[in-house]
Amino acid sequence: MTQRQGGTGEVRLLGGEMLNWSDLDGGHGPGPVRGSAAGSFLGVARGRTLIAGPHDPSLLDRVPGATVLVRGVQDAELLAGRGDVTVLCGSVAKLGGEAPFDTIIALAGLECLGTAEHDELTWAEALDALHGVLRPGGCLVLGVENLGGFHRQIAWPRPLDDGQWTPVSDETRPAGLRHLRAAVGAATRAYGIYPGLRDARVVVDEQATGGVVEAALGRAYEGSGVVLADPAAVAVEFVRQGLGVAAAPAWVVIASDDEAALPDVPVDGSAGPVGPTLESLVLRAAGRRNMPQLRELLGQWRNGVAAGVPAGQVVVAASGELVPLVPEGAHSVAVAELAARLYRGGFPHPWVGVRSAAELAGMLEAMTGGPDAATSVPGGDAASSPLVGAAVSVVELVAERERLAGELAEARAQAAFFEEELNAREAEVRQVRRTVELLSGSGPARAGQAFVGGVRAARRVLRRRT
Amino acid sequence: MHRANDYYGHSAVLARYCGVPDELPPRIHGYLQHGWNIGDGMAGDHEWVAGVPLFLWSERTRRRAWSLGRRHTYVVGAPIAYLMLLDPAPADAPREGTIWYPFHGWEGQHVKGDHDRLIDQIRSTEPGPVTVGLYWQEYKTPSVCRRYEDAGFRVICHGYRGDARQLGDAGFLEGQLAELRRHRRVASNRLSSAVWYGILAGCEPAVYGDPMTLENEDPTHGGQARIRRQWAELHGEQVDGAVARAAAVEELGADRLAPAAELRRLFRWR
Repeated sequence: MTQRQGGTGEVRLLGGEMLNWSDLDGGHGPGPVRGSAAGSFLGVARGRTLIAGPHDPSLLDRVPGATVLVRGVQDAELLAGRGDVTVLCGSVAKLGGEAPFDTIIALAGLECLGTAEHDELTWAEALDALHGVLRPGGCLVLGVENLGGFHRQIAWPRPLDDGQWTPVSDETRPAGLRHLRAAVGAATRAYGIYPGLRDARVVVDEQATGGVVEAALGRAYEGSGVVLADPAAVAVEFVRQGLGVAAAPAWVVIASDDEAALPDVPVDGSAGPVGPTLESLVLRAAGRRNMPQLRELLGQWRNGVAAGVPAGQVVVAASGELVPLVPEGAHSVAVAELAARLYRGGFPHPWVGVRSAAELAGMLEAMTGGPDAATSVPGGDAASSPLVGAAVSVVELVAERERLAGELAEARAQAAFFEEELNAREAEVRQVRRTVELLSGSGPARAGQAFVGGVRAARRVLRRRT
Repeated sequence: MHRANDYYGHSAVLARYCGVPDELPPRIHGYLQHGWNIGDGMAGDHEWVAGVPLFLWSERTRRRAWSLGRRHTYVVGAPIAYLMLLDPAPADAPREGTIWYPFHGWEGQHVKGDHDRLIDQIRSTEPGPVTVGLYWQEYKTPSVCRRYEDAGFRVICHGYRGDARQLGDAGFLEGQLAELRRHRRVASNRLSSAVWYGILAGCEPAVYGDPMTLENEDPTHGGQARIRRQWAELHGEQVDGAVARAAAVEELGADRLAPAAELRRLFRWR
C-alpha cells in the first residue's frame, strides 16, 4: 500500500487506481452524485462511515471524518485537499484489509467502484466487497439505476462514455426491485429517485402521491433537454398510478441485517399541504369539458394568494384553499406556461379555433373575465414566456405535425367553402346590378346618374391636382 | 360564418352581451346552434365545413356531436339564457294563461295532422286564456290564423327568423321572452326550443296532443319517438316543475354560460 500526499490530507492507494481519470469532473462520464435529495441519504450515516464512489464534494461535508473511496487519483487528491476525510483510491475489490464500517454509502452505484486496471468485477462481487467491510448490524445505502425505469424508454440513444468499457451489465445484477432487495440485505427499505442518481432531486416511497410530489417532479425536470416524451408528465403519471418507486429512474436501497438499524429518510410529499396541484385539476377539468369548474379554478387562481405562481406549483387543499409552493412571478407568465402545457403534447384541449399557446393564454385569461382580457392583443402578454410553443419531446413534435396537417386540410376545406360563397355572392351582385341598370332607365334615375357623373368628374380633377 | 347564426336575432343578443354593438350583427367565427335538436346541434341547412367551430347549447349535444365525428365543438349555452341575464324578469310581473306553440314545419316543409282535434284538446286542457304562437309561415296563412282565432285564442307571431339573404326581425328573441314571461304555462305538441325557453323563463310546461307528422322528417336521430322516450317526464298535461327546470337548464346550457371576454375570443369579436 502506497501513500500519496494530497493538498492537506493523505491518500491511500489501494491498488487498481486509475491515474488519468476523474469521476468528479464529469469529463469521462456522468459525473458524481449530486442533488438536494442526495443529502438526505448522507444524513443517515452513523458511526464509522465509508462513502464509496463519486459523490459531489459538497455532500461529504455532511459526514465529517468519513472514509472516502474513489478510483481516480485526481479525485482522491482533490478530496484529500478538503481535509477531515480519509481518502482511499483504487478498486473496491481491494477494500478487504479495512476495518469494518458502521455505514457504507454508495449512491453512485456499484458500476463505478471497479476500475479499468483491476480484473472486471461482477455486480455481485462488488456488493460482496462492500458487505465484507460492513460491520454486523451496520447499514448499506446503495444507489442502483433502474434498468426498467421509465427514463430509459424515453431517452435518445447515446454514445457510450469513457467509464462504460464493459457496456452491458453481468448476469449477477438483480433484475427488478424484489431481487435487488433480496440481494442487498435481510431488512431493506427502497426509495425511488428522480431524475436520477447523478441529479437526485426527488425521493419517493411506495406511498408517494399528491400535489406536493407532482410539483416537486415538475421542478426536478425543469429545463431537461428534448427526449422522446415529456419526462415530468410521464413521471407524474407513474406516481399517480402508484408506480413511483417501481418506475423510477433509480433506486436507493438501505439494507441491514437488523430491521431496527434501518433509518428513516424524509421523502417528498410526506409533509406540506395535501391535495392535487392546480395544474392537474385544470387539466382534468379541461379534459372533462367541465368549463364552469375550469372558469372557477382559473378565477380563484388569478384573484387569490397563488396568483403568479405556476399552476403546477400550487396545491389545492381539501378546503379548496390554494397553497403556493414557490414564490410568485408575473401572472401572465404563469398563465402562458399553463397554456403551453395545455396546448402541447397532443393534450385534447377543448378550445376550438385556438391556433397557438399564446392565443390559448389569452383565452384562459378571458375565461376568468379578467379586466384586461377584452383589450389585450391575443398572445401579446404571453409571447415573452420561453415555454410557449416549444415542443420538448419527440412525441410532441409528432403530435404537432399531426395537428398542423389537420389544420392545413381544414384550411383548404374552408378556402373551398369561401370560394363557393364568393361565387354565389358575385352572382347575386351581378343580378342586382342588372336590376339597377334596368331601373336606371327612368327619369329620376337619369338625373341621379348625371349627379354621380359630375361627382366622378370632380374627383378626377382633384386627383390630378394631388 | 353562417347566416343562420343571425336567426332569431341570436348573434345580436350575444353581441349585446359581449358589448359589441353594431348595426349588423357581427360575424361569428363558427356555427352557432340555433335551435334545440337531438342531432349534432346543427340544422339541416348548415353546410358543415371542416375545422369550423360548432358552438353548441349543451354538454349532451357536445358529446353526441363528438360521437358523430364533430371535433371542433364548444358549449356556450343558448342565446335565450344570455338574454335572460341581460333582461332580468321584473320581480312581480303577473302571469296568466298559456302560450301554446303548435308544432310547425320550416320553410319548404309541410305538417300533416288534425288541427281541429288539437284545438279541442287545448281548450279542454288549458285552464286560462290561451295565446297561440305561430311560425311566420302559418301566421301569414289566413286560414290557419282564423282557425285558432275562431277557437277564442289570441294568435301571435314572434316575427321572421331571417334567412341567408335577409336579416330576421330585430328583437325576435326579446319579444318571445316577453311573451313567455306573461304566461303561467307553456305548451306544445312537441318538445321543442320554445318549450325549453318557456321552462327557463319560469313557465310550467306541458307537451301533449298529436305531435303531427312532418313531410320528409329526418329519422336519423330517432325523431319524436326518441324524444318521448328520452324526456318522458316532460310529456303530459301536467309536468313536475323541478324536473323540467333541471332538464331545461341542462338542454339550454344555462349553467355553462361563458363570460363575455371568453365569447369574444371564441367568436373572434375582438
